Amino acid sequence: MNRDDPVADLIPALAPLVPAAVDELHIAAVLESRGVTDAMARETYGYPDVFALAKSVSPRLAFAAAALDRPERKAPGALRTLAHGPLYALPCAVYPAVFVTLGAPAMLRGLVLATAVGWVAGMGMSVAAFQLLGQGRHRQAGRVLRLLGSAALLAGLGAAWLLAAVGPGGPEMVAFVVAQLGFQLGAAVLVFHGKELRLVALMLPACVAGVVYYAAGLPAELSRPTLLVGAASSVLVMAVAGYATVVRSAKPDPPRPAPLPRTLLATLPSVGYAAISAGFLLYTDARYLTAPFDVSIGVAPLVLGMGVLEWRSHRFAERADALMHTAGSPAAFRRDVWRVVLGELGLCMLVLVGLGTALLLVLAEFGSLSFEGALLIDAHLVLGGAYFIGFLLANHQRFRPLLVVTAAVLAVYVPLTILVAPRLAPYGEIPIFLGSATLLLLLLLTALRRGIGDVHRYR
Amino acid sequence: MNNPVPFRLDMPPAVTPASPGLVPSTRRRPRIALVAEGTYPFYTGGVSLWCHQLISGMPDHRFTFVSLCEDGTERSTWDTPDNLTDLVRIPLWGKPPRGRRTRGPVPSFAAVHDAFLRALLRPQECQVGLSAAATDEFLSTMRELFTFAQRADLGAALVANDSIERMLLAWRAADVDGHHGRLTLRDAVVAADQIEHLLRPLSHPPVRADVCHLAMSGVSALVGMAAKWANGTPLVMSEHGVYLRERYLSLATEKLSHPVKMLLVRFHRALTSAAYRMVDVLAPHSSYNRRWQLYNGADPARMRTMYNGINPDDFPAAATEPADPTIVFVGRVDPLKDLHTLIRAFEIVHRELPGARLRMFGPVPEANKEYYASCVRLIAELGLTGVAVFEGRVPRQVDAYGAGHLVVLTSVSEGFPYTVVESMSTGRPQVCTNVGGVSEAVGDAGFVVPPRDHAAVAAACLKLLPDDELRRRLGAIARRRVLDMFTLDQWTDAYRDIYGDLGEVAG
Repeated sequence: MNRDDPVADLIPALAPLVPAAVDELHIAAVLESRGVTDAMARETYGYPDVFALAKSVSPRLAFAAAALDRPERKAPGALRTLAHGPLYALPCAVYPAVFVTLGAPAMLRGLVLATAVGWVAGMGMSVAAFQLLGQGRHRQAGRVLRLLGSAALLAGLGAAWLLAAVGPGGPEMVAFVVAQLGFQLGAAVLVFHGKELRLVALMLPACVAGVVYYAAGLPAELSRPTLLVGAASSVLVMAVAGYATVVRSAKPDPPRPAPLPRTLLATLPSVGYAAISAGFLLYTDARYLTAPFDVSIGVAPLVLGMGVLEWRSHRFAERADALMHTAGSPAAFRRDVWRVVLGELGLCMLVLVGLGTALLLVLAEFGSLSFEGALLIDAHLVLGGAYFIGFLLANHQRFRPLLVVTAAVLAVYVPLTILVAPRLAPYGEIPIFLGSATLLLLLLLTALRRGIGDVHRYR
Repeated sequence: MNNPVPFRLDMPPAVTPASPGLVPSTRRRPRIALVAEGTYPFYTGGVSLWCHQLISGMPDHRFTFVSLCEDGTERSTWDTPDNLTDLVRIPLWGKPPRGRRTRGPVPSFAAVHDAFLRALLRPQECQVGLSAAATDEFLSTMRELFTFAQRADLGAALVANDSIERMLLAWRAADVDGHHGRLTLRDAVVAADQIEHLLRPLSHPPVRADVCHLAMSGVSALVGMAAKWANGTPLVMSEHGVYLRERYLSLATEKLSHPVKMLLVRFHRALTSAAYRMVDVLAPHSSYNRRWQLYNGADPARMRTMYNGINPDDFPAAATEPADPTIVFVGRVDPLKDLHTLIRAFEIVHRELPGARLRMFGPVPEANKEYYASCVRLIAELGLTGVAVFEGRVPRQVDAYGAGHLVVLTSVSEGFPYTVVESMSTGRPQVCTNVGGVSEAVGDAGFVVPPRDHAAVAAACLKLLPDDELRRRLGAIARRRVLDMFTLDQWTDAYRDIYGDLGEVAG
């Protein structure tokens, strides 16, 4: 004990416990938790009580710079996010075999059904699971993924039976719907758990079989074995995804599970947006699945670029977060963050245009490019821009403008297509689709601008 | 030490004069609004037990319980006493309140918000609590915020860009960068968001009752303030632990930047001091708590120390002792109980008395499973497996006290713990750490040692375990002390008097 200055003995023990004291009461609280009483303050340190002792200690405690470090946010890996678009396109490898086996009309109906259900259900599952994860309910998130995934698969199966009963395709079409939908739901689960590599490995046999089948010239006798390999891959994806939902986390969930109806209700805006988006895209693309190659493949740059859109939406969040640390005022933030939006949108469009141009060049090289095909590719690129703005609005939970704008554009697009497209035939839907996508992009941008500078959205 | 009973209301009027309120009629049972945050009736624990005992012990009063909860979906875990007629939930999290708003002119938010921020960022020497004028000014600001919240959307106003800008400007004007770092735009948003949640009780319709009883300080006080401003309801505040002190201690574990922590703690400190100034009766549950209240501006003339009470018939003197020298701990497994110190102390005891046993009774909360595992690992590392044992929750707590020769509590933070009083009632001597009001409860019925000092805990245990005469003597003192000072009847009578006197004042 330093007899001349007994307080000096306190400092080394106290410094790590109070790296940055807020005030003297902060120090008093910590002193008391270390057993310092008023009696000790008097007898050992010569102060009337712990509060007076704390006040004298306060200026002697060095301010540890590390204590001023701010908690950092971790964004998902760029490569992983970039892969999300192409990952969902993996089943395309076996589509030629499906086409040969089922025929165009049955394949088209099955694909539209599976894609729509998978899109909407996958969105609902992810949103519900992320919501529960945010509440520390890891195990319940796994249970909800299993429950919703199974429900969606059963719903898809039922709808496929109905479809098969009233049209072409039969049991094979039902099997195709289950395999395609199972893949989409399983992929949603594996992506949620960050197991993208596992998804690629599981789909590798289907991709190889599809490529071999295509390289062999689409022989009829190889179509069923190819489909069997594809189905096996899909079953594996579902099984591994189901296993991934069984969380063996050491940290238990809070005692009471979140009420399921409340959890599902909270997913409705996202599910609604997914349904409208699926409707918008499928209403156009489904009709061109059996069209000439340049038209039928018009959606490809958008699918391949979806990962880029998702990645840049994460980057936007990071850049906005950085601005929140550097901007001197909300007004400066509002100005700078809008520039970031435009920059990121420009980058997304650049990547999409790059992918589209590559496709146009290849098609032109093979003499398969038509004016309509080029126009449809352009329309999808514009739609990609709208989807990017949609990501930003959804990430800010601004579902009201998002739903109103997308639903309004869909409400204009569908009747216009029905009424006007026949007069512009053939492919009269394409210019209307391009116009609608452009309108969607402009309206979403306007909606985004209205609230993008509200700093409370970035807490 | 203050004599807790009988209580006479000989206090000056509260700073905010009571407006004509509900006058308790002689023919009807008075209505008490009991307010607490994050406890009764949704969770177990000392404060919840206290609330339950208070309501059950006063069948001649009707109670409205106002629970400041997380999101309003919580379910009750207690049997509802007949006289608990209303349960009001005020969620602090989840969706913002969308309650019915009252009519009237809406005060300028910019001016009141500016005053609010200036109060939080005052220089340390004239902070709210340390200066009566500053506390009054803060109270007046809070009242204006209440008026605004009743007529407009306070939450939206607090996080709007203009408000964030004001916060940044106020921080710069206070020139505190040197001590607390720079307040970034993000910090300002986080702080505003947190304060928005904490102020949500102001947007709720004020409760109507004859007396509003706050079971703790903190944001519960806002419910009382609103009732007093709107209806002139008299206020009584009890404090088990020291809410403010616990906020300071929890700072270390919170993932917030330093400027945000500083703003939040300043808010809590100002709110606490304002509440102390506004209540008609302040009832610390130990003299230890009283010190903190006085330091933060409480008026001694309006303070009465009220110790927790138990029913001694539920915890009769134990007739026998176990065969092996046994130390008992009763309580939840929690880092605040510092069971590592207890286990290390027992290792010394076991070395000296190889036949000794340590029996630890109590639940392991889900959140503390990791801490429980660390205790089990420590037991194994020290070679105490089989002799130091966790026995879980016991159906009758009295059996747990009877299972040992003495009862040990090694907490680093406590209010006025029930387990100490209950085990004293069974005639068991105590070995406790000197935290909160523990030494006031134990008195000369055992040993009080410094916290985190396992050698001191072991030394006290080794003094008691082999000495039958000393144990018997201290055990008898413990029982007598409970009967004299800490019975449920004394405690409920004292609160009944307070309610009656406050009702008369309001009348």
